[in-house]
Amino acid sequence: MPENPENAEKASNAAIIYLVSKAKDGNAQAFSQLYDFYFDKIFKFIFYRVSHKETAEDLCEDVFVKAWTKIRNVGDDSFGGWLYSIAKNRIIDHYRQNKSTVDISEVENILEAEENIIENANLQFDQKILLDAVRKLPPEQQIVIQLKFIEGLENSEIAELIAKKEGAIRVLQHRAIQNLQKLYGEKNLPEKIFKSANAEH
Amino acid sequence: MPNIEELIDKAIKQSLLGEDISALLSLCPPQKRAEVVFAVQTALKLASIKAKEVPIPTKRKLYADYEPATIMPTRILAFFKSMRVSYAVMAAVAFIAVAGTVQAAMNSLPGSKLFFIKRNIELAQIRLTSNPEKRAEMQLTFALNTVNGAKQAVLQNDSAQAQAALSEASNQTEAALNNVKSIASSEAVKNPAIISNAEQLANESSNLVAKTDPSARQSIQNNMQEIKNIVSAAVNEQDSAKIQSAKIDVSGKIKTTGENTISIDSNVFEITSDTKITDANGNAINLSDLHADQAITLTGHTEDDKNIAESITVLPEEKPAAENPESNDANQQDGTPKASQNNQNAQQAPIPAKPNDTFGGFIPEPAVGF
Repeated sequence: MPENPENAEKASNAAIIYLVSKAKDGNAQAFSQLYDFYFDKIFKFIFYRVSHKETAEDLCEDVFVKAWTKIRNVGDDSFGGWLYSIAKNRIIDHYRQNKSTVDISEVENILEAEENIIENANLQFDQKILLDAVRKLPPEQQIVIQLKFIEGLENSEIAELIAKKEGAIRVLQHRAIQNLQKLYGEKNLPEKIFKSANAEH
Repeated sequence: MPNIEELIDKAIKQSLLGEDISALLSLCPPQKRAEVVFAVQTALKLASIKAKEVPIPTKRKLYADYEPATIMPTRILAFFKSMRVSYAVMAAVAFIAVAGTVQAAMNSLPGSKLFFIKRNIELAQIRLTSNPEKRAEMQLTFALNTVNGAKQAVLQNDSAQAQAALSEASNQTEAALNNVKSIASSEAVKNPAIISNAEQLANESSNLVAKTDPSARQSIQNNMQEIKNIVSAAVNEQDSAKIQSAKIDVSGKIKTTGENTISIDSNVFEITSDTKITDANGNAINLSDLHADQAITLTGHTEDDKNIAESITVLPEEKPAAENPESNDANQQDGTPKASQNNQNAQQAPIPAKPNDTFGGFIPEPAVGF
């Protein structure tokens, strides 16, 4: 019997909550499992924003050192988002420390790093049109679309990262899609999808 | 039914996992289905955009060299748990440990490591006392204890501790004397014990620091002298106020006479052997010659909350006169000695006579030439 993805997600969340609670009691093995689970995600998030492997590795280690020493401050169910927040702050600190080579005004927009993330060379024509439409969205909606669909973050992680509630993220996502519908247009959708959707119901 | 945002979110999540969303669409109102489908299609298209390759990182697990900041209490707790000790026993052990430390701190000498605990407890006690007099007394007591403790600390051959103890004693003395100074004009006058305690502290403390810190000694002595000056000024002011308030000068009708007293309205005046009583012509008469409803002027003073009459003069019998509303003075109506005293000059001014009733038992001084 195939595993229900929703149940698998719930089980995975429960496992993380359990590991976080053990790590908060000082269990290094539990934290080690959390490290293995999150390291690649955090590394990717940092790498997209510093574009340098060794620097990203250093910053990523800093994030986990800080997480380990401050783990008692985090709620059991918001660990992932908390890690991303630490990473964001660490990246900002990194740019501030190197402000002689970086425009400091750009540091605050650290989440909008789209040009470092997308492989523009291989974009299909309609993907380019869609991305152009995304670039016309209000900044918050752009960030939600980018973090969720291109970088693969969970709603809870985005919520923690931009200091909003999960419900607000769903609303932002909905509004972004509504705006994309206006900008990108229904004409770009394959007609058969509408037909099948309307025929079924 | 979930709202449209939740529905779209769920549909996107399922479609990104490769799941069928038809069941979800059936929950959706028909007019919203196209929107959900568009959202799913857009999400899939966005997710299909290829992100840049990320190099494979090297995991160093640097965190392993660190310890969570609060790991120690957890380990202690785990140790007690492993010993199968109940929380009550753990709490008792913790209480004994804390109580033991506090007790040791309370016996510590100034300049020692635990003294700061004692000092903080003392400061908390001072802060919790709202009465300024009690606060000053408390501060003086603590400062005196510290000075005595510093004397003991000096005898122990530890120059660092002795130095710290002397400094602590000097600081506390300054703080306590400054506090006494701030209340000296009011509270200290009521409680002379505060001044004598302050003086004792100043003497002991200045003797203690005389050799090591002559400037501190001078400062302590100056502070004490200032306190004495303030108190002395406050006492003089109070005495002068007492003398002023002691004067009585009242006019009115006698209400009752007693063996050694007469009363005007509700005020009772004592007649002593020194009291001079004269009639309207200036002839000396006795107390027994006075009777109720007789108009008199009385001068005297207050002593131990008693009104002592010094001289009583019987006024000539009144004659009918025209009404004069301007002379209807509230102080005269009141009939209290203090009120009359304030209006002494006004009473001496010529006032036309008027019916007694309008003066509430008092009659005005006879008008000049009337």
